[in-house]
Amino acid sequence: MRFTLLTAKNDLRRRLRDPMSLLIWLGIPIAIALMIQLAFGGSGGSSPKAKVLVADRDESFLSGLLLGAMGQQQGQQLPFEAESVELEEGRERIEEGDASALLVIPEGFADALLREEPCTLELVTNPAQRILPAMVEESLTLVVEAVFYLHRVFGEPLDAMLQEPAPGANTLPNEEVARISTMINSIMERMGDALFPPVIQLSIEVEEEEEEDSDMGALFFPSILFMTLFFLAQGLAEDIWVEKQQGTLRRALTTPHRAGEFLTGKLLAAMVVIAAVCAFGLVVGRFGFGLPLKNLPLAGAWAAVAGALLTSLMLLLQLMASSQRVASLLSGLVMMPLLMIGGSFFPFEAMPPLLVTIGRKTPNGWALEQLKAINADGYDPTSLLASFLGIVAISGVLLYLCTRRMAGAFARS
Amino acid sequence: MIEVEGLRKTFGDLVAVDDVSFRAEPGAIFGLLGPNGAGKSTTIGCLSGLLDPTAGSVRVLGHDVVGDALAARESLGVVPQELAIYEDLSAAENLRFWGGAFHLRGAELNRRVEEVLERVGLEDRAKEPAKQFSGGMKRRLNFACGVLHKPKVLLLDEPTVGVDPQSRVRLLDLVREEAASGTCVLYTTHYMEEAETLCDRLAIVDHGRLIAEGTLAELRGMLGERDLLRLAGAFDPDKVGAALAGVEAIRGDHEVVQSDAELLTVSVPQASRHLPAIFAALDATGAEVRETTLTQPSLETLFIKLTGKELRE
Ligand SMILES: Nc1ncnc2c1ncn2[C@@H]1O[C@H](COP(=O)(O)OP(=O)(O)O)[C@@H](O)[C@H]1O
Ligand SMILES: [Mg+2]
Repeated sequence: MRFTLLTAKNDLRRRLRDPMSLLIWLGIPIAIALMIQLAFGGSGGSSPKAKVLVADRDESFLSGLLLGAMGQQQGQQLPFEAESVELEEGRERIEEGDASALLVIPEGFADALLREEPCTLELVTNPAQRILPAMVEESLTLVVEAVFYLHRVFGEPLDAMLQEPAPGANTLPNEEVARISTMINSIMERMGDALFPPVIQLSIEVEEEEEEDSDMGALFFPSILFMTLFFLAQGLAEDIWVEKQQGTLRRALTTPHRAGEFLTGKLLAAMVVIAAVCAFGLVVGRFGFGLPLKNLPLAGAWAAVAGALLTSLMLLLQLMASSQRVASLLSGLVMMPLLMIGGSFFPFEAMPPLLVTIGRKTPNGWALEQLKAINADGYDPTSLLASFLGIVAISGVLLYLCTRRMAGAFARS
Repeated sequence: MIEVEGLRKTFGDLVAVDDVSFRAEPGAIFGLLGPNGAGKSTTIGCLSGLLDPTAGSVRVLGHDVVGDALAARESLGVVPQELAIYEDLSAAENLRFWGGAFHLRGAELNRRVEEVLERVGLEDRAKEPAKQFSGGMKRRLNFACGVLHKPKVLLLDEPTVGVDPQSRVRLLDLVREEAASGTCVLYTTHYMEEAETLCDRLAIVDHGRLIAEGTLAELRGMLGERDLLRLAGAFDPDKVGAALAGVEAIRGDHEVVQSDAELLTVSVPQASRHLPAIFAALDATGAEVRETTLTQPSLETLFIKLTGKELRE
């Protein structure tokens, strides 16, 4: 027990030594939140609509996602209407002053994003109009940022495969990477049909379900917060590779303590980090977006146990993989669908009922709903307690599996 | 005290450690000497509880490392071959964590940390993150993490590999100090000189097998007073034996350790005095000698005698 606390303390100290990672973990969601605020904050009621023509020359899942997110038809929350056009037609119409702007998604857009190469979206604005194009530009930044963030989920494993061939074993040749990304592409295209158009229905559903005048920010914020927690869990789980590479894992296994005590300590530290980030995020949400915040300590505690669940899940994936590169690909492939369907990328309010039903059963989706209920003071104490105990039990089982694997093949290879 | 009996460890088909038995006593340095891949680290892994032995038993102070693992590890200090320190943390923080893992706390922990930092000569750099250290300094910190809690049994796995000469001398002195204070030290190395100057008892290992064991004097005794004569050139292995047997001065008192078409190794007493006669006899078989090496009895010659090859690859 003392060793567990010692390990937790040691891990927290190590986290503080690496403020860059912490800043990035916190900074990305805050940046996204701020942009949501910029783009949608206080823009209730009727705002003038701009017309944006979009020429998609890439026709990949990422450009499709961008289009979907912009709301190709009646995107009522976004301050513009988008219309798909061919490039030539678009240019002609801008010249004729028929639209506020033309967005050109260049060929190779998805490729470049996945490879983290610079790529430029061309926005041709109508010189005759002033205010509307500016608004378009601002909102587009947000959408592009969201797409970029999505890419972070997939991009990293792909990137890792492209850039650092493993010393020795299982190097994936570039064709293989291309094949995998094509595969992801087609999966995403199919999923996209189900997932992305609903964003457009946002306003309709919102009007039905939410009695308060919740704006986009408030709607998106819990999702973004949970996405952050998920990324955090993933990042903290990856630390096991650092311990392995530094040799400290092996040394820990030669101390007179069980492997489980060490791993529990690491999980405790992860819970503290996640709870702190969550509490911080909720306070930002409260004052930035008017999010309800009725039970901050309880919400923090909930985030901590949910964090333990997510971290031990991601940890198990890390430990199952034969190398860190395989691990990051594996967790990307698991995390992505969970984020998408579990309401961590798009809010449940914007998803079709069938997917919501499934999504609420994902660990992150379920935890997110509970967190919202806690914040809105709309939770049932008995069932929440049962949930707490349930999570602790499941995390315990996962932790047991992690420990077996870690002290066995993982530490020895 | 370390008692190893019939230790065997396999990785799939590969037998890394094969029926190894030895005993290391308190207050002495027991050396495991062998080339890379001999199975030294695997042996240490089995001793420290990182690896499960395939067969055989290992006891540390009477505690079985498998059946009574935690108790066995209580008295262990390990200095692994690969560094095992937190790079982001300072030397002092590393020591405090690993000391805490061995139940040290409060004033006692502080005292030990200061003491060991001074011993390894890192007292001025105690607050710096370990990642800023040179290789030798990291090695010394790695050593400090293993001895901070004053273990009764200390396992050192090639602690001087890749270390600058000053750090190396310092590390060897530290190891001697440990043994002098009553610790049972197991020291693995592939450096002959280290084994010769440091160890009270030695086991020579090759291909997972323990091929000789004893004090330095006992091991030297196994060679007798013979020198080792190594000749390189072109030989006819079928005739060499008979030709040497025909040399009057060494008849019945020499041994052909190894012989092939290019290399001939013979152990002979006072070889330098018999060189002309030996050359003459070989010459008569049509052999051609291009290079002659004469070595006095040492661990190197013992190793060559036992395995037919040099320790250094
Ligand atoms: N985890 C492992 N899996 C498979 N083979 C291993 C493993 N560890 C060591 N070996 C093999 O066992 C043999 C002994 O290795 P080792 O104990 O590291 O030797 P030494 O420390 O004497 O250089 C080598 O052939 C090595 O390749
Ligand atoms: Mg070794």
